[in-house]
Amino acid sequence: MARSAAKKILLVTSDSGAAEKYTSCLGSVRDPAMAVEHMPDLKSVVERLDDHEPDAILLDTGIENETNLADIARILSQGGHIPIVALVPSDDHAALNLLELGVQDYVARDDITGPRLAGIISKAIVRRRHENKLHQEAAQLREQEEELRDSLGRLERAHTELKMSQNSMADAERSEAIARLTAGVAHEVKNPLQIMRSGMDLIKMQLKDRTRTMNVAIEQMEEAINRANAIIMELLDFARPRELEATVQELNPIIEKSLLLMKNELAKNHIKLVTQFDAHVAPLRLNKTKIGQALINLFINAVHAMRNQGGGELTVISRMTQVEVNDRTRQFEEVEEGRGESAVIVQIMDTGPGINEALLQKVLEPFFSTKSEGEGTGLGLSVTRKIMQLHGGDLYIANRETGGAMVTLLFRDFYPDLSVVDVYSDSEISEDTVKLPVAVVE
Amino acid sequence: MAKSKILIVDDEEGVMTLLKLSLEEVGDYEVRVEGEGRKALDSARWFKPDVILLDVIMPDISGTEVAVQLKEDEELKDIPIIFLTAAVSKQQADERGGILNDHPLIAKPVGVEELIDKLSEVLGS
Repeated sequence: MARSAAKKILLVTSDSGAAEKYTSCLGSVRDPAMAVEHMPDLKSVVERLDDHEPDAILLDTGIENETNLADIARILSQGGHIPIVALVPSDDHAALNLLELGVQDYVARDDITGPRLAGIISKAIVRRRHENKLHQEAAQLREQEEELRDSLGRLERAHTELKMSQNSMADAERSEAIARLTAGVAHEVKNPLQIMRSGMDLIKMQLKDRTRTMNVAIEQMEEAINRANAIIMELLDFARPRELEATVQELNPIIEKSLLLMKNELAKNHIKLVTQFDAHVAPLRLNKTKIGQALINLFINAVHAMRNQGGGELTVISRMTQVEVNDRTRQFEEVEEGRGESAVIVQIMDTGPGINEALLQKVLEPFFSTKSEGEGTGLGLSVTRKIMQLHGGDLYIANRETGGAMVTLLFRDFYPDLSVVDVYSDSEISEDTVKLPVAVVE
Repeated sequence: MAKSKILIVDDEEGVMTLLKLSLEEVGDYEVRVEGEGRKALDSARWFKPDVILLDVIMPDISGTEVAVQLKEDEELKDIPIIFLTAAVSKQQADERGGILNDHPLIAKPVGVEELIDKLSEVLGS
């Protein structure tokens, strides 16, 4: 069997007598031969390790104290893969601490023969090699685990995104279906309404001598035609094109003007108006008519909520703020300056009975209404929300802690990138735009 | 003065009939009706209306298509057209400026008075 190459051993001891002893001790060993290099202290070892890689370090722990342990630890951190065998006093219980530190093995200083010491060193070297291999494998495993975690994270994110886009696709499909249905229904209903309207015109023209009862009947029927038509108009409005013309506008004057239109309604229902408009609200890119419509919808809802209790207080606030918006949960949170994004919010608060918690999310769905029959089609809030979404914003609804409901209009982007496409303002309407009801709607 | 001649093209029987009756009841109109878009040109050719009231959404051919064909016809191209549609609300029609492809647009349901106003406007009387 061929002899293996000589093992390079760094012998560390401050005791030159001991150095001589161990060197000669190991010098007598063959297979493997041990080439011993003597280092007088740990400091020289640290320096030596920079350019020399021994197979093992034989460390004479002459003085067992904290400093010594710290030095050993330093060597281990620098050349952790090099096995260390410690020479300890025969009765040294502290030797276990050395093992804790990562020293491979120890041997009592007085209990030494060349082959024995060489055997311990050789075993330490083999053990260390295995340990190093294990460490490497563990490190590789950790790396792979890290990669797996990364992939998992990416997968999870992709999954979430997919889900979100599926949801929004489902939303879009639903909206599209509603739009088609609406246009179809509107068309089918408006023709009969036309027949009734013309019929009423004829009856009025031909029936000159009418009794009071006939007049009441005619009046009621005309009223019914108007009401049915109003509902159809609201439906069509709900299914209106999703893009609209927007210009840069000051928000507060639009709120004021909308409130002005509510003046009589508020007075009639004994509702006190409180306003707090932030003069620093940045101009917004918006469609004045639509935002006006949205605001009036909300004011009317507030009035309806309060009129049955004989009055109340309508509070309207506008302000600049910082928000964090969670698009997934469709919630927003106001945060301190420096966090989140700038936003303008308008809050409309009433002192009515509030909204049943279970219905809070439902109220934003089309055709949902808490109002009595004849008071609303249940499109107001969903239309209003849609208007806000067209402006790159959103509508949130909540109950106030002090009672009543609060609607928040959030304008996230002062200049949302709205495409200025409005088929209704375009004089060159293409054939396709008007051929089908759905095209008209879209 | 001769009566103004009006051709109503609409696939809804009831709409046609009652519009015809109410217009004739009110005033000096001679009204003919046509229930199929594709026959509108023929009807116009023999009836020679002063104005055509044209439904937009019809099963065989759309009113806008009929309008294009009318405009391409040497004999018929000068007859004014008023679109009458159930597909848009009055508000939407107003937002279009009451115009569709250069022709006036009225949303159903329309009362006879409003219709006569629009007819008078188009007929220039």
